[in-house]
Amino acid sequence: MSITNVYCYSEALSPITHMSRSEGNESLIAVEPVKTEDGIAWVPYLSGNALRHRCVRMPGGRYLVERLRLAGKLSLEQLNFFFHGGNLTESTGRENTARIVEMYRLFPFLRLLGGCLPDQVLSGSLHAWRGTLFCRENATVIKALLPEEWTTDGVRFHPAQSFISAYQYTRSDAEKTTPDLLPKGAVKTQSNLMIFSGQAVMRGAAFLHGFAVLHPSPLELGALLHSLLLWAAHGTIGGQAARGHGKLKTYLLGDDPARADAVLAYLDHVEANADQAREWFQDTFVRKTPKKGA
Amino acid sequence: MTESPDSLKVTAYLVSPLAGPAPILDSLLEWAMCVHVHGGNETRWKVDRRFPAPDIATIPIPLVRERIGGWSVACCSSPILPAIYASTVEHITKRIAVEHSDLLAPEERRQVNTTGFWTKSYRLPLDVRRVEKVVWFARGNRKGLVDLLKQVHAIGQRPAKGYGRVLRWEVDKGAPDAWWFAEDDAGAGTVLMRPLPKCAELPRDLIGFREYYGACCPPYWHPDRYGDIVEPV
Repeated sequence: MSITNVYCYSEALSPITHMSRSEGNESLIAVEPVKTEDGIAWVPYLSGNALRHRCVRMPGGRYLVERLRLAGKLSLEQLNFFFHGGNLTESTGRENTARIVEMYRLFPFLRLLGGCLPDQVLSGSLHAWRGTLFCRENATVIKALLPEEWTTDGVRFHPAQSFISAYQYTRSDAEKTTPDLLPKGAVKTQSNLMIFSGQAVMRGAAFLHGFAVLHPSPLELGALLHSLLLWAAHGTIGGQAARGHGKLKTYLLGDDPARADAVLAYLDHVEANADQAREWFQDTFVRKTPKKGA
Repeated sequence: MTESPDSLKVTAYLVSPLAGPAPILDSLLEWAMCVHVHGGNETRWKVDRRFPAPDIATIPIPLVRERIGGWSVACCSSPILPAIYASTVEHITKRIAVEHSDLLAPEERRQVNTTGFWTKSYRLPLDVRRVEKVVWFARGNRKGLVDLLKQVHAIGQRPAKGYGRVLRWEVDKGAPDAWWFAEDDAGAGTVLMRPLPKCAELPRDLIGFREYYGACCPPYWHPDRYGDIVEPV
């Protein structure tokens, strides 16, 4: 019996705009209540749902699709399965244990995340944690969450409020900036300049987050770590990524040499089983032709 | 159980919001046995709505089970939550990954209905509560409980998305015998502490309950377990 924990420390390299709602025309970031000696404080956090999707499912799914040479060949159901876990799309549920075993063998990544095939739901083994902001209000929790060999002694925790900043952008009016491209007389006098603004967690803030994996095989662990590497290199969290928001510098806590081996083993596994995996995938998602005259 | 059972107080200290109701301890332990105890490559017990429920008390857990009203019921209370210091609503969202449309086959690139069908987008509310701990009273084997609860790192709904994360478990001996019933402090009667079958064996001065049609043994959600019960209010 084992649960493997993967701890991540992520530092914001650009504003983090993980929004939850809007008030008027301002976007507000996701905050959670934290009990402190002075009462309830509202502290920014990253949701487990977003971290699971952005850090693991999206980069890992995209890698698999490209590695299995399925890009440009997917059906809508298959796309939905890779990037959102799929839906039951057939009217009759089935329990095909042979197919489950084969899927787990061919796709450690899907064993990790689980998903919903057209006719059956499969559980995964990955539990994503929420991103906890390094701040004064969370200091006690952070100390308790960190592995024993990691300490926060000497760290100065600042109030959460000091990490919340704001942004404001303007979408310029193309009629004003490039009027020469429009026919004469088409330029209106009224401007449609749009200002939009919101809250953000400022650059330099840090989050503790991570994953628990139930009974992982080395290949599943490799799939998780490989997805994290892809995300750390190119991925973002939250919105406004097109404007440079959401970039994090992520460190995996702990120095375990087995991690590199697990990633390499996973890459070798995907390569060695690519043909079988592609065949299994196409067979499983065969679309049934409706009966005529029914 | 090899050791004699003790009266225990089981406490889960939480570090993330609790989504949905907290579990009754025996259901949590049976779930842990199903997930974490393997026979070969497969889990030993398969519990699913599509299959008949396993026989009552088939799945071994480190709690004493006693018979009442013809059912074998574990000696553990319903979860007891301290004051909830914040109750909020979070959202789980989903939409078709249109940003990956380039991966679709050419014949699959078409308009998609996002307001109905399985391609529907959603933003579902999820009620979450902030509690520092959840407590159960139980009678069982402390060492067995400690060993099994080490494998449970989250309780409640949506653990894969970070809800109900348990920082640590504590299992203390010397707790009051309050797994099924507890004496009311004001002497008004006997307080019901967990769902039990509606039967003649219940104390005559029972208070703090309602009659209901539901389950008194895990899996509590399985229709095979439904019957006339009394449950705490």
